[in-house]
Amino acid sequence: MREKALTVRFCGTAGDGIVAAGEILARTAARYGLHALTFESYGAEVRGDQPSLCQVRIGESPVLFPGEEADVLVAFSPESWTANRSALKPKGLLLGDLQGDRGLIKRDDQLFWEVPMATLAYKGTIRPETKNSLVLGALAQALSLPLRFLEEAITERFSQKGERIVESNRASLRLGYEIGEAEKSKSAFSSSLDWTPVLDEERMILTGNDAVARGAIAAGCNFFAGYPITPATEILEMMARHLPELGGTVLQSEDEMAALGMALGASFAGAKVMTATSGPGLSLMSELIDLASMAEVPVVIVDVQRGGPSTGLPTKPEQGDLNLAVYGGHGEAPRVVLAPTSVGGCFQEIGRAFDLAEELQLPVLVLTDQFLGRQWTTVARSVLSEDLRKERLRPTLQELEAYQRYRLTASGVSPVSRPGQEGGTYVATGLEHTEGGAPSYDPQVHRQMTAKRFRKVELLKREKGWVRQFDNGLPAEIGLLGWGSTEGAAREAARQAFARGLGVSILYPVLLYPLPEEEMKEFLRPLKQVIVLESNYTGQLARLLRAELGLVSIGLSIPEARPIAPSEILRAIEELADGPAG
Amino acid sequence: MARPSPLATPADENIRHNDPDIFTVKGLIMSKISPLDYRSQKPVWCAGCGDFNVLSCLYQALSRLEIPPHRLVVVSGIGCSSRLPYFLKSYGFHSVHGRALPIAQGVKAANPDLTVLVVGGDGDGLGIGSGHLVNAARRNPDLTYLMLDNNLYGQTKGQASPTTARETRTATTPFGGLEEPLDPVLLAQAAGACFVGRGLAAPAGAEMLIDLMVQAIAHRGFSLVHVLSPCPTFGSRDIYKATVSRAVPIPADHSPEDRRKAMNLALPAEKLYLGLFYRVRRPTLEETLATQREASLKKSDGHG
Repeated sequence: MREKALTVRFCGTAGDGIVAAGEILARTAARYGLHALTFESYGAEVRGDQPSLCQVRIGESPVLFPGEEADVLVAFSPESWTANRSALKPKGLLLGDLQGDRGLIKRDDQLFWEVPMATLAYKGTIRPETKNSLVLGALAQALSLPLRFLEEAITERFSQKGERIVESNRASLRLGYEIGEAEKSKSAFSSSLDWTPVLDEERMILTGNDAVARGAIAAGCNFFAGYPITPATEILEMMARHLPELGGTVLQSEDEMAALGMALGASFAGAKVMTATSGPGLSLMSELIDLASMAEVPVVIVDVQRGGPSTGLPTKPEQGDLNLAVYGGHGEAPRVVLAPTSVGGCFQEIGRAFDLAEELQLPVLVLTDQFLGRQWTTVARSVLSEDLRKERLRPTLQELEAYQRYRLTASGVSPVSRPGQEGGTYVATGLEHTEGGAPSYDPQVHRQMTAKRFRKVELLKREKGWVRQFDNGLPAEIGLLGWGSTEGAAREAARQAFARGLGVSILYPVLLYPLPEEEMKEFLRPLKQVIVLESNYTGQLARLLRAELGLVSIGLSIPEARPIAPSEILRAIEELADGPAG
Repeated sequence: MARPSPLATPADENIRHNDPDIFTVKGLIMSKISPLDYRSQKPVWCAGCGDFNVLSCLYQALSRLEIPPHRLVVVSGIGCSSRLPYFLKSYGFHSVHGRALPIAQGVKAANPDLTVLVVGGDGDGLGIGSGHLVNAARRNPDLTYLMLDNNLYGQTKGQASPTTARETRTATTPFGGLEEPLDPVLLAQAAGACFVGRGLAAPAGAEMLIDLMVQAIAHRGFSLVHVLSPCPTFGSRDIYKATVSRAVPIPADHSPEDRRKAMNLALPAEKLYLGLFYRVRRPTLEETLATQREASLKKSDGHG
């Protein structure tokens, strides 16, 4: 397996173009035949003095985690160097603008390439907005990346802003490349960086949010309603751009209740519908999720989780909404909850979410988070395939002669008519109802209908193909169980554990409710101890596993609204292996 | 003075018929679908409820427009009047409090060939649902909203609602109201609704109400028909009588395209006007969506 990989951290202030720099580097990697994964960190404000950070790891194999320590630190200002100094490896390279204050460099052996962005901008040699392109040029020298791929990436990234902007960025890029060349001749930085890029497949870069939108379109979604909310807004915007030309409809609603309401109305009329929001929006949607479950209306609801509770930390990732997704809404309203673990997974699981929603006629919640939603990663185009999708069960002509919308069936799924269809009239309702859909208070009817609605999800417990399993090549008695965006770090930790001779078995269920019990029990059988990893305070998954499977686990809950690092996971594995019980 | 029948204005392009083969004979409409064809379950309302009148007027209006039951969708919220979908033989969606309008807009956007009605009460539409009313008026979906107003929350047994007069005492306002009542006819117009009317759910107002309903449903765009529909169980007979005594038809010389005049007629005053306040044609939501779809196709030029 090809191992060469490097981590670059860009740091500066909001408005410096830090995030664009990271994205361009990731695009460059994709074009060159490498892999990349990014991580962004910034505040909720649009401008101001907020620090901005973007970390990119590029490598010859698919990158699982955007790196812990940086090999190269690109500092846009002395302050950002000071603030991020500790993230740079001892032999790492500092590349950037200290505005002449070399006293800030504490180590004698610190490698430093000076790129005087502030001076060049002030003198008018470069346009101030193109600082990031300037520094990318110098970076190309440090990372031994062919300039032309960077040029292509910059053109791609800025093309909507017009030829003039593209050209001024390219000019800054070339200047930066020259500056880098001069610096390289003075101090060598690991110039034995000979990448072995492999272009065996067409690669593109995508964020999780992109993948969700593309996945929905590929699955045949033809109606999307949404309300802007960080960090899910990009999904609404992408759908607004692309769905109309495919004949679909996108509506920006007046609030989240209207968004889900519109989706449910459209679904009732036969459309394939989706909405996307974050925690606060999902809270608002609770009542209508209940309605979808009770009236048996298919819908896909994406929650790009962020720090909570309440307004919380809008631009930071957290895994705080599992309880809300599984249990949210008064009464007992069955639904399905999925959690993709990667950007490619976001695309694939949305497709499966639509299948489940249409087939089972209920709400399917898909949980991602800000880390997954906003990370750029290289994805093979072949992953974004359009498969044939499942459709709703329709009534036969005979059934339409005496149509009963909520007819009791073995599977719990009743054939559903569509407005406009003769003989198929019924009133979808949030009231408890008879098979014909008439409101009912009868105790037996309530019992039977509740059982019917739950029966629909029961079958999933035994289905295969809903978990992702990885072992690290050594026999394992320790298991590592998690969900969503922590998978990359977990797998990285398992690789490092292998180097230390520790066996670890990893399980990431994509289906969180109902839990795929059969597959999970198989996984758990040979293990002596299981760590449950999640980015929240109360250990929501650990509690769910305890309640549903009786699993007593060791909780690794890190409630800091940031991605969990592989080293933290490795430490926990080691402690467990070394400890008295291990 | 006889008012011209709404159907006798063939030059009015706002009127849309499903079948040109309709003719009137002294107010009697001969249609292929009988009003009785729309009947479904027996209504659960109290005897004397104004909503019975609304329902029978609706059967008549639908019959005149010849809307096939299977092409009709009635969306409602929560409340006594929101039970109406069960009493019509059509598709329906009895949803949750205040959210009928967004749901109905989703239905219509997904299938513009359907006739979509929204039915709900004053509490459902002006309390929890007020935000959706305002935004639906802005969006102009081609659907008709019948707001059945009994000046209270009937289902929950008679609390003050957004249209209750301040002086009225209810279980939650034993010392009188704390807010000024809202007028949906004024609010909808202020929000830009392009068809606004008001009728009375009583035998005397039946012909006018049927007429308004026909026009509203035929109108391409968001149409609100505010209906005064008394509650015999929790409403006060005296208050209802006083309201009716203030009710007068809008003067025959009123031009429904005159927005200023229409809003003036809706301002709180001694007279409570009934009839068609305002009607203009604006591009509907569905028309705009269709135009935008075409434009985006041209723009994309075949590229993905």
